[in-house]
Amino acid sequence: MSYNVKLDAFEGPLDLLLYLIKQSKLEITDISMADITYQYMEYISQAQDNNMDLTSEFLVTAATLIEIKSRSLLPNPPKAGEDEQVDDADPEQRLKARLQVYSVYKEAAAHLRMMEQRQEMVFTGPVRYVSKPEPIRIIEINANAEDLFNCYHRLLNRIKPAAPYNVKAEAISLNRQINIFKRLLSLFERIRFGRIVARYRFDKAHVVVSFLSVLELMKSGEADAYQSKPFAELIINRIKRRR
Amino acid sequence: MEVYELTAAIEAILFVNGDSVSVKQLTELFDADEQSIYAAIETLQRRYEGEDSGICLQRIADSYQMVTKPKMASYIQAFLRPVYKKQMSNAMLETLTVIAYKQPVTKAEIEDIRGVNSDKVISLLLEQGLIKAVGRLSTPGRPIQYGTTDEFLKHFGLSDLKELPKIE
Repeated sequence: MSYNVKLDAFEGPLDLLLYLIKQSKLEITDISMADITYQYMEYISQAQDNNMDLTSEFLVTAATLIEIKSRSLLPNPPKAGEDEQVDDADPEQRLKARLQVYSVYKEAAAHLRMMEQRQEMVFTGPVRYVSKPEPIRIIEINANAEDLFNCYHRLLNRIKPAAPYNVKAEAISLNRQINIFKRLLSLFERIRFGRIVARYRFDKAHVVVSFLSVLELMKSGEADAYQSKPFAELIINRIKRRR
Repeated sequence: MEVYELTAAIEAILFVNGDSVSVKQLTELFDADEQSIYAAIETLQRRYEGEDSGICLQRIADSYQMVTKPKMASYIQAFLRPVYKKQMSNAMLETLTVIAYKQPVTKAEIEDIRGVNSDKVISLLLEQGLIKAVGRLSTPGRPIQYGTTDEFLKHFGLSDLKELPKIE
């Protein structure tokens, strides 16, 4: 199958998903997200082949879709209640809810585009900035230096020392981070270290644990990594398992 | 000041200014109450309604602007050629739509709906005066909340936010 639409034509992963759903001629509520996972992945890998600048949001959604797909392959445990309720923890329901909201705004944006076009038919005289500046308002204060001194002291008495704020360190699990890398490597042959840690806003602890994860994967022979020159982007490659 | 004089003067001000003029500016300028300003504007609007007039008054929140009627577009374009009005990018339009309907809204809320980082678009919209900071949320980080401006109304030919097409 060939896809002619380029990824940069989309505003983001949600926009791409809406397009894929429209292609399938199904409604958001009726479609199974697992069914369009393949098409979505096709776009992502094509974009990677073309060395396109893929934003991390596309990758996050890819991971979500994989999770949905893997869940759909497992037998469904029987639900306690008979009636179908929206399960907040269900990633498919969550993604669908976001798509619903996004599609409403996308439609509204199309309306506004029409209004913008209609307004293009309207012209004004040349805009001249002749308005006078706002008049300066003078407020008279009847006070002397002593009043100010007293006022400042009253203020100082009112301010209580702020309670110390405790910042809790977030525990980052090495195993969890290794699993995240494993999952990404199962999706993509090549990942950029910088992209991954950018998701954590380059938080020092996350960078360290992520780096340890890469070392761990290199040790176990699941990945290798290289840099084109010192301090260049660290590229992580998947190593195919030989059986 | 006679009523006809006030009407004529407001017309003259709207003509020379080109941009919108607020009712408040007019009350201060003419030392008149709002009612007489609105009455004068209504007189002008009725006068421009006729098919033999090429201009009309557009309301933008509490301001009025003298603009040409859409029907005149082809003549104006032929006369001024080439004249281009810039359309905004899809990313800007999408972000602006979310802000227009959900205001006051934070960057995080915008990004949650759009599913993409919106830093650059928001600063572009701020730069073009289509949105402004309207407050801060009291949650940690005190994030800035954004809302639309009169410039936004002007761009889409809206008199106020109530004229936005209904959604959902």
